[in-house]
This record gives sequence, structure tokens and C-alpha cells, in this order.
Amino acid sequence: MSRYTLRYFNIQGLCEALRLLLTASGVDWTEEHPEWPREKPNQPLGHLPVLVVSNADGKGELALSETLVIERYIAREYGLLPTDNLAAARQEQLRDQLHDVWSTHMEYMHSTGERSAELVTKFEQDAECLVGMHVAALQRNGNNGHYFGDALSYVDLAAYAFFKFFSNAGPRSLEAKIGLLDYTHIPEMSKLMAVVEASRSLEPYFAAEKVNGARLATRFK
Amino acid sequence: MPSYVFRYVNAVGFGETTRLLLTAAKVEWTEESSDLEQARLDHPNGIPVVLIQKNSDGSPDVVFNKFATIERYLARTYGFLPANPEQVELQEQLRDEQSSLMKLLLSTVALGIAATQDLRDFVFTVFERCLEMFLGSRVKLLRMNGNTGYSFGSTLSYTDMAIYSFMKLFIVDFATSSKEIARRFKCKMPPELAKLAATVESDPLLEAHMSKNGRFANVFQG
Repeated sequence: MSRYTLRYFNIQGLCEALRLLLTASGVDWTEEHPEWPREKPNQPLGHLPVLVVSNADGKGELALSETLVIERYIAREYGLLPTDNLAAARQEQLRDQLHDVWSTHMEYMHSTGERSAELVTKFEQDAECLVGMHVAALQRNGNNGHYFGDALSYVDLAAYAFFKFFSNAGPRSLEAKIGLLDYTHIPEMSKLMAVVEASRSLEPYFAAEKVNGARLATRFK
Repeated sequence: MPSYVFRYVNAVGFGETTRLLLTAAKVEWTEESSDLEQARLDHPNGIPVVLIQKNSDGSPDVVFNKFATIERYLARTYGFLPANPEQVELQEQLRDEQSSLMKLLLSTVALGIAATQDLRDFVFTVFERCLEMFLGSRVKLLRMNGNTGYSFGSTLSYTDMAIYSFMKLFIVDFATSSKEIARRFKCKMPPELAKLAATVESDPLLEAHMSKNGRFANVFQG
């Protein structure tokens, strides 16, 4: 049985969906928070996150980079993405859309001047489109709190992490537009959030959060 | 057997890997292109892409609108990604890394095109450094595979088509918009990647695409 070590910062950032995936998979996993930027040259592609996959005796087998690649690997390995290519692609497309909007927001946090104004417009358009598409997907599935079927899946977890991030996006966030992603005003998404939080396979994740508190969304202070 | 409609612009852009995958898959597909300049005006926040998969009776089955999803779906469905999960991981990781770098390079170029000479020189320096890092990792991969012109084994893969498309973007699209970028890109190309480009262009699976759209690998000769 493989063991996993996630290297990242102690924030939600890019990795909350991955933490949920690892927990829901029931695998043995731990987390490290490398000293940064000192440890940058020691990572495969010079950035985080990295997921180290070890075999049973703890020796490193594989070090994976690129957040979405890592997510899909875990999701496929542990049955949270379907084996049918088309069904998997439908989930991946929804997930990619979540990531794109998140990325626009992160670019905004680092931007200044004219580029900031452009990104506000882009975020507004993309966030509205995203909510429309995701609500439609949840409604097509009977508004049972899942995007597909009646069991927890990759995109359920990715959406939970995404809306959790925007419920407290931290300083420098797009405050004027964050309300577009307030799930408490989107009944279908509120239902998903509640269903995920009630999932038995995620009890360790929510128990830890109850003890330690939720991680900050970003490193910005 | 499904058929496909690919909607994008009349340029290499981000669409070439999809075109190569559809061609190599030997599926029935057509392209509906809009004018690049008009698309840039209509969609300042990013030109949309659409791939429609149609049933055998011609009715639409599913619509994709994300490049990464489209490419992975086609690559998996038509055998251009291996079955081994770890090898799939490696190819997808290479592709995601390339996508991030492509966006960075394009942002860098956009900044440089409209700037003063000093800023352009700085931007070009950054461009070359980022490009060198990328090329270094790809050369290593090709050498590990015996410098056959393929990234893995001896047959065309998703990674090969993605790298080829990356090269074509900068050499063909930028030949008109920024000759300086195209020139710098061409000068940086190591022989291993020139060989990959020639190998992809001569692969029988892509003959139909190359005959219609032309080849560029000969720019590396001489």
C-alpha cells in the first residue's frame, strides 16, 4: 500500500481539494511545510505542491508536481474519477473551470494598475459563467448535493474546496466581486457543501479542522 | 464512431495539439475557424475554444470548452496516453508545466512588443531564460529515450504533439507578429528538439495535417 507525503505551505491555497481527496481515499498521508524559498531548488520543478508517493517501506518511488495532475492521479487511483473517459472528462472540465477562476483571482492579488482592472472584469464574467454551469450540472443530477450520481466524487471535493476558499479569500481579494461566489446565496451549492461536510470518509479532515481551525486561504497578510 | 467539430481561430494559438490529436486519431472532424484579430477584439479576456463530439447520427453528444480537458480526453480515448498511471502522470505533468510556461512566455512577449527598447531587451532576456529552462528538461527527456525523435518509446505520443505545437506557435504565429521572438526562439532550439519536430512532421498518422497546413521543421536545417 502506498504512502503519500504532501509538500506545501500551511494554507488552503492550491491544495485544499487535494487534502480532501487524500482523506476521502482513506490512504496513509502526511503533510510537510518546506522552508521557503530555501527548499525551492530541491523540488522536481522548483515549485509546490509536490506529492511524494512512497512504497510500504517508506522509500520514495515517485515525486509528482503540478496540482491538477496530482489531483487526477489520486482521484483515478482511488475511484473518485470514473474509469470511462467521457465521464471523467465531464468532471475534469468542471474542475478545470474552477481552477481557471481561482487562477484569475490569484493573478489579481499580485497585479497592479490597468491589469488589475482588466482582471476584475474577467473575474466577474468568468465567475458568473461558472456559477451558471455548475448550478446547471447540480440541477441535472437532481440537486442531491453531488454533481454526478449519488456518491462523493472528484468534482464534488474540488467545488467544496473552491467555495470554501472564496468564503474567506483573505486580504487583497476581489472584495467587490467575491459575493458572486458566496455559496450561501446559491442553494444548489449550499446543498453540496452540506453533503460534503456530512461525508463519513471526510470525518478525519473536519475533525482536524475543528481542533486546529481552518487554514488561512493564502499567504497574504 | 463519433465525429468532431473544433471551433477556434485561424492560427496555431493553443489549438494545434488538438488538431494533431484529431488527425492522428483518424476520426472524422472539421474545423470552424473565426478570424484571429476579430476574436481578440470580441474576447479580450481569452479566445474561447469548443470541441463538439457528435454521435454517429450527427446529433451533439458532448461539448468541451477547456483546452486541457479536450487534449487529455482525445489523448486517452485514442491511445496517445499510455495505460500505466505513472506514465500518464508524467505526460500530463509535462503538458501542464508547458501550459504554464506558454502563458508566461506569451505574457512576457505581450509586455515587450509595445515597450521601449530597454524594456524590450529586458523582456527578451527573461523570455530566453524561461525558454532555456524548458528546453533543458525536454532535451533530457529526449536523450533518455535515445534521441529517437520521440519523447517515449518509438511511437507518437501526446507529449510529442504538445511539444511540436509549442514550437510551431513561436516559429509560425510569431513570424508575423514578432519576428524578433521567432528568431530568438529558433536560435535556442537544440538539435534534439529539431529532430522531434522533423519526426512528428514525417509521422504517417499526421500526413493529412502536414500536407494541408505545411511543415516548419526545415527552418532548423542549415
